[in-house]
This record gives sequence, structure tokens and C-alpha cells, in this order.
Amino acid sequence: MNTMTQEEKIQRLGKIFQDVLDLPGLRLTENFSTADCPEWDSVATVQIVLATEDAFGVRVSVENVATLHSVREILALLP
Amino acid sequence: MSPPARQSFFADALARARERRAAHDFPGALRELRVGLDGPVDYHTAVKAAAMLPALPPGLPVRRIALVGADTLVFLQPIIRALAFRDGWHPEFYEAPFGTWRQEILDPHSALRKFKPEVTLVLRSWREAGLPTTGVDSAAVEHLFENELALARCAAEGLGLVLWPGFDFPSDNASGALEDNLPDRHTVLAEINQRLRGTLPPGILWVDLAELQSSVGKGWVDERLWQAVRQYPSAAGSVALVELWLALCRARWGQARKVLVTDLDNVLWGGIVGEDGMEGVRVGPGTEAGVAHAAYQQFLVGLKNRGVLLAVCSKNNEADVVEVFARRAMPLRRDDFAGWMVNWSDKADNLRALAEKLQLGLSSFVFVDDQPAERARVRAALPEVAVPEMPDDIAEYIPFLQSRHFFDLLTFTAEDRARPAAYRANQEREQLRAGLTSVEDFLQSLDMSAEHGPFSEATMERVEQLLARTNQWNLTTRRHGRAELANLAARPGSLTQWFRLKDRFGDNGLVGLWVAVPRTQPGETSAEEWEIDSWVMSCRVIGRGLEDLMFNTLVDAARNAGARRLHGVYRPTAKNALVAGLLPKLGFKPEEGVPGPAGEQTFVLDLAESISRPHAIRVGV
Repeated sequence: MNTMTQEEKIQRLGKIFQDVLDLPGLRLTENFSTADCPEWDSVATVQIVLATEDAFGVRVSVENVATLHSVREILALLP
Repeated sequence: MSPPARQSFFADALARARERRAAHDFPGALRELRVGLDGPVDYHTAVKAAAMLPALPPGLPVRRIALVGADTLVFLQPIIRALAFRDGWHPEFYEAPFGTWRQEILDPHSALRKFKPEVTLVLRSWREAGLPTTGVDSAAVEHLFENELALARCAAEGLGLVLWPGFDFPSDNASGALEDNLPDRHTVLAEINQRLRGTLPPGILWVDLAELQSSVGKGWVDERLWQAVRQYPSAAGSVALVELWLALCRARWGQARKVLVTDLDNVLWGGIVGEDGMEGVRVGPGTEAGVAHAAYQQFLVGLKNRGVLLAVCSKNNEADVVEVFARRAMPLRRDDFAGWMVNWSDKADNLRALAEKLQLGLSSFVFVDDQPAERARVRAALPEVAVPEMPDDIAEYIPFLQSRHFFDLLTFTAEDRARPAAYRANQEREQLRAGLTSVEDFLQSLDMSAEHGPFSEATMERVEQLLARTNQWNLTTRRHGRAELANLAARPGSLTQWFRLKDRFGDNGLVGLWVAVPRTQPGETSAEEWEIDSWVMSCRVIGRGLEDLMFNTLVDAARNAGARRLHGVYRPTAKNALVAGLLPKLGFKPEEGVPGPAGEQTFVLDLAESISRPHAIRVGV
């Protein structure tokens, strides 16, 4: 897991986002944020957190859960 | 045989639904999505399913659902949408503004009351009881009880069917092991639950959150997600809660299921009675699987004792099954079953016949079968039957069936016994959906492909095993060993073929074979007469049309070898009644003047007149 490049992480997150947001064509970038996407609401945030925890074996702390608004912020939490 | 892909069952259905949607086949997309929800449902699958649903799925009744509670109930909405879709209705939501749930109930002019809900779902955690950690005095308890009761009484008017929650228990008890003699919140809440449950006004249904909390276990609340976004309960807890809510709705609406139809082989017992014999099937102490199968039977006994009808639907020789019930010690007895379909017919046809016999609509049926293909067949032909996608492991049957609450009733007798007349009127079933209603269409949808070839070193082991173990679909029951097989294969003009069948649920493996040999007199070098020495098919692929493909290849091979006539013999045993009529069905004529020993019947086929049989199996790798 530690050897994943930033690119690979974004790719894996991309699958999660496509799934959760039901946007099969979505191309994820580091800058992608809630402002870009009306589908990214609080329900989606919880889903993204739970799926990211499963996929990367991390646990997102309480102060980070509510404040995740962009892919960059998620990447910062990954090992 | 590769295990059916149960873990990806929903994902596969979702992918098919997306394909249909992309092709603008919206009814087809919804059908696939609906199938996906027969598998295990968790928070992610429910949210994905809800996202696929159109704002108003066509043809579904809409029900106004109010969500009233202390936490962020919006997380529950997609789960309700998805599972209501599975149950055949669509929710229109009203969610009370955050922090106003008591006012909304008490105020006669609130937005909640203007919404005129058909169902009001109330949810609040133990925190709303506002109890101190310890040292609760009895006046405070009395006060809490009176408040709850007043609120519930007010909710009983004008809010439709109200589901009122008991209190769950705090996860942060300070008193630890002292709990028993230092009355704390747990003790107090348990007492209030008990009193409330007994005094709720009629029209309000009690939701036992404490029991749900204990069945979900430690994951009932994700403290972190509660603290961060007020999600209560957790993702897993929310799915379990919605399942319970919808079960209570179904019970109130008269939609609880009433009949559990169970398969036998590898479900009621381990093994296949037609192959392993009455003494060989595993049930009860002695084997691990036997214990699990007995536990499943015990679970059915419990269902039966509270009014659920049990029925059997199994592809077997009835005599074998009767013998198991007569001679094996099992929790279930034959007369525990209200319906009994043990034959080789299509299971959808059998379910229709059962519905007639029991005078119940198919919408009160739950169909439990370990074979993915049988489940798919019943889903396609009878969409009103509940067909849970059963786990591979028998030990997981009970928790999975329980999680679905198929048979939950509000009270033991009232709903169940007073209604048969109303149900009889309901029996006029919906016109079966176009497509996928015939066996032919079903077989087509299985997307079957076969490989076949002459016996070789690589296949010999399985060929020998198939000849040794197959009892039912076995024309001659000749148990050739390795050496005899080698001899047979080496005889000039002998023809052998094995068959491997795949379908969209996986590879069934090498499941069929035939052996044909020329009838040559000593000294003769060529022959015109060939004879079927053996013809065998595994019972796991019965009813798929593989025998037709096998027949066609046999006829072709015999013709190519120069044969003009093909002889066949049916050698009856205690187990192979299934193939008694096979040869006549394929166009063979009884051979006269050749009485064989012990009831053997000989037949002959004129290869010039033989017609190729239709089937739905693609040949090739």
C-alpha cells in the first residue's frame, strides 16, 4: 500500500467516486471537489469515507470526516 | 464447479442494469436492479440502487413517508428507497427539520401534519432520554415515561401508521460491572421500554431498537460518524433498521410472506439423495455440515410452529425422498409440509401448482434453493415470488433469512388466520411479463456453452467417477473401471465423448458422457450396427437440454463411422426411472423379439430417419 503512487491512488479513488456518485464517465483529478459536483452531498461523503477506508485500510478521524470537500483532502489522509 | 458469484451478485446486476439504461431499455434496467436486491444488501448497495431509480419508478404505488427524529435521517432515505423498490412501492419523503421532532409531532399545524403521512417513522437514540449517567431518581423516570407516552399518544392521531422506537442503550456506561446494583441509564431505559410497550395507544407499532442494537452488535453506531455528521445508527445499523421498518409495514399492509418453499438436496440435508442414497445424506450429528442442515430444519420447525406454511420443491425421485423422511432422524417430518412437489418438472410450474393447491397467491411465497440457475429461473418466470440469493454456506442460511424478515407478523394470530378469504380473491395474478416466461427463453438466457471431445488421459479420472457415481440420469448403469474403459476405447470403431457445460453462473465441469460400440461379429471388419454402451449425465445439469446436444453428437459420430442403425438399451434400476422414456422421446423404436434380462428394454434408431434435436447450447470453447 505504501508503494502506491499518487496516480494510482487517484485511480483507485476514481473507481470509488464513479460508483458512489453514479458517474461512470467521471475522470477524477486532485482538484475535484464538492463545488464541481452537485451529486457529492453529505450522504455521498459518508459513503466515500467508508469505501475509502475499506480500499486503503485507513481510518478517517472524526475531525476529518465532516470536512472532506475535495480529492486533495482525501489524498492527504492516505498513507 | 466454480462457486456462484454471490459477493458480486448486486454489482453484476447493477452492471446489467446500467447497460440496459445506456440502451434506453428502462423497464429492463429496473428489472435487473430489482434482481440485484435479492442478494445481500448493505449500505453501499442500497445507495447505489437508489441512485439508479428514476424520481418516480413507473407502475409503483407512491406512499408518503415522514421521517421524524433527532439525528440526520437523510442517510436513511436511499436505503428506504431501494428496499421499498424491492417491496414494490415508492416513498415520497418528508423529513422534519433538524432538532424539531417533538414540536412537529405536537403542533397541530406543523409541516409534518400538513404532509399527511401514510407512514411516520420515528427515530431517536438513548441520548434523547436526557438521563444523567448515574443516580437517576424515580421522579425523573416517571417524568420521562409520561413525556414519552404523551408524545406517542399525540402521534397516534393523524400521522398514519406510526412506528415508535423503544430506547436503545448507551455505549458509554460509566458504572461497568457495578451496573447491577447501581441503577443507571441502562436499567432505567429497559424499564421504560417495557412499560411503554404495554401502554402504547392502538395504531402505533413498537420498534424494538434495543433488540435490533443487540442483533447488529458493536457496529450499531459508528460513534465517529455520529459525532461528525450525526449519522445514527451506523451504515450497517441503518440497513437492519430499515429492514425492520419495512417488515412492520408489510405486516400492517397484509404483505407478509406465508409460505417457505424449500429445496432438499444440499439444503434440507447435505448431499444428493439420488446419488448418495438415503443413508449417505448428511443431516444431524456426525458431520459438521449435517449439524448445519439440521439447524436449518430446526429453524423451519420454528417457522411452522408460528404459522408459516412449509412446502418442498425438489427434483428427485419421490421414493428416495420418502425413504429419507421415513428412516432418517431429522427435526422435520414429512407431515410438517403443507405442500409437496418432488418430481422432475420445471420448478416455476411446480410453484404455480403449489399456489393453486394452497389457495395462496405466489406473492406470499419465499423460494429457497441452493442452485443459482433454479433461482434465476423462478425469478424470471414468477417475479412475485421472493427468491433470496442464498449464501453458499448452509450455516449462513438462517441469519440471511432472518435479516429479510419475510414472515414477520404484528401478532401471532390476528393477521394470519382471519385472512384466507381475502387472499383467495387476490389470486388473480398479474399477467406474466413478456419474455422469459417459457422454459425455452429461460434456457436461452442461461447463455450456455459446451465443450466436448473423445475420452483422453486428461479426462479419464472424471469419466470414471461420473460412471461410478451417477445413478439417476444413467441409461445402462454400467460401472466401467479404468481398465474396462481403456479396453472399450481401444476397440476398433468405438466412439466416446465427454461433455462440459458452462452457463452464466459458472462452469459445471465435465457433466456428461456417452460410449457407443459397433456390433461386430468375430471375423467381421466393418459394421452397420452400433450400440450405446453407456450414456450418463450429472443430475446437476438436468433440465438444461444437454441430452439433446449429446444425442446430436452421438448420431453424427455414428453416421460418420458408417453406422446405419443405433441400438440402445434402458436397464432399469431403483434410481434411474428418470430416463425410462428417453430413447422413445428421441425417436428410437422398441426392438421386437429381443427381450433382455430383468426388464431391460431395447430400442433401435434408423439413422437415415433421425432428426437433429433443438437445444440452447452453443458449442465451442
